[in-house]
Amino acid sequence: MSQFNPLEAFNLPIVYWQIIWAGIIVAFVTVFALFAVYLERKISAYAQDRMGPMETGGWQGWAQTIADALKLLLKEDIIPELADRRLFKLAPYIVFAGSLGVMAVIPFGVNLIGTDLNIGLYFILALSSTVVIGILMAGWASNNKWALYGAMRSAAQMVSYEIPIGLSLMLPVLLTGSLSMIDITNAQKSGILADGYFWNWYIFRVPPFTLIAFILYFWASLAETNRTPFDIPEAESELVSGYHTEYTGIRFAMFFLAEYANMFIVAAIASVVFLGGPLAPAPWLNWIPGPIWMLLKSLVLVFIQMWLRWTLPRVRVDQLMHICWKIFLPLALVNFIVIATLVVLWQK
Amino acid sequence: MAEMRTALGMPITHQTKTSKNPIIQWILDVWEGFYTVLVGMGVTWRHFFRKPFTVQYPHEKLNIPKQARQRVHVDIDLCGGCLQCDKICPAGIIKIVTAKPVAGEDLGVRPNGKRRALHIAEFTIDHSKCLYCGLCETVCNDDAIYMIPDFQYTTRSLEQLVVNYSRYSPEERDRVVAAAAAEKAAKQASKPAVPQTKVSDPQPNIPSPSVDSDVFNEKCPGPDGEFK
Repeated sequence: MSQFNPLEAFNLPIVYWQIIWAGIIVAFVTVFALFAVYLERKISAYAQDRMGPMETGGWQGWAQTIADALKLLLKEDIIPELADRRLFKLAPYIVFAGSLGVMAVIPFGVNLIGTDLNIGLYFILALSSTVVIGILMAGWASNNKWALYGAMRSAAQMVSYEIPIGLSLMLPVLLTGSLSMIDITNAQKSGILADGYFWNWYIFRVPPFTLIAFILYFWASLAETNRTPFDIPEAESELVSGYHTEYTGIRFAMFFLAEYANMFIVAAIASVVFLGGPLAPAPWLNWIPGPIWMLLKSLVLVFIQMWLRWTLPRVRVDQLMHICWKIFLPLALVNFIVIATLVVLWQK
Repeated sequence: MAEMRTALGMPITHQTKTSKNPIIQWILDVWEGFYTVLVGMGVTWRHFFRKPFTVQYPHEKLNIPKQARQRVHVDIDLCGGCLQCDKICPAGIIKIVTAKPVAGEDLGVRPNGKRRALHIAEFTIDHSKCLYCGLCETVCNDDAIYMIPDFQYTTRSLEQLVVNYSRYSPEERDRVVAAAAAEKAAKQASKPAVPQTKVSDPQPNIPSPSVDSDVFNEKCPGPDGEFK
């Protein structure tokens, strides 16, 4: 495992490092959103025996999303006449800030992190809840029935699914004894079996409970990011586009960016907490740096999100609540109780 | 227990397991939900590696059937100027101007061996109004008008779709038409009023169809419903 420490390497004050890291994260999220939209188009195309974008930029239409983003930035910025102007303008920034703020505590390497908060995971859950406020704000301020319906559904769904997500993420916290993302990563280096291998990752640590917790987290995170099969907040066939129906141009781009940033964030959290984050799956693969493993794991999870999206139909609102409260919550609770008991027994 | 079928009548091969214990039933339901999602993902996975059905249209094209009705084309060298296509065209988009050659002028022979009896001074088709019925192709005696495999002939303006297939420039057209008219006028001056009466005469030698003719007796079914 590369032990590259940027603080020591460049001898920078921590504030400078954090500002630089914030810039890197914003650039990364933008590039990732462009890439993810392209990937999604290609995956949806091949799942339906099509080809997707093939023209713009030559090879496989690689420049299509760049062209689309440029077009989006040049669009007129329309605010509806009866909208609540102040809230309407504020909402996309809250949604985007809530998504981007989470990136501060996600470790891309063992030492490569914006800030190693001792309440890292708690910070993630707390900050991602503010996204709900932004979405409700957007839906309310638009003064449009579709937008309000979308926002209400989104709020109900996100608040409900916070619970199985929180309970699933508590398992690694119980096993580590810390909320810090760096501590959680380092705790996956060694375990009962030989050190440095993938079987020390939390997903394989206490079978089958941590595996179930991982699956629960991953499924609930689909609801958290408003993706199929839980995309009822922006169900195109019912609600035009959900809470961002009235948004155009740069403000719409902010929502769009936040949506795809959220996809990456939930995948990154899952890979840090359950899949060892920047850790290599075997000691002889340690020469590949941590950020590459981190990106690889996250991108595989993003791919699975898209794969699921183009496989499953949308669930109804009542089915959504049924899945959350009658299936995910009991499973997560049983998991939590079993792991908590085991941890207590081990410590004695 | 009767065989279970879906709404579309397909038999359900996968039998859902049931249990009387509600907790075990719940676990079975959750497992089945998860398992069927995996089955669906497997279906999607197989589609990832299938050959796409779509064709990258401007770069590659599907084969069009030979008998497809597409753009009308005129091989003006074969055209005899019989005006059949002009008469049959439902849209009335074919405009042909012919002129008789003046005395002593020989227009030669067409590629199909027939004598060229008329100047095809103008042969204009307004492609913007063509309805691709193919009747002109059917009635043509000389196979001069036919469909060619070209369905994409977009132009910048409607005027560009009005195509003149004749080899005569407008000046030449006016010249041959004027020459033919002048010669006809000269002929009429030498033989006054004779053709007028001939045309207005009734034509006694055209047979009018009657019920007793052989054709009708052959085609019409008799009282028994049989052909005689």
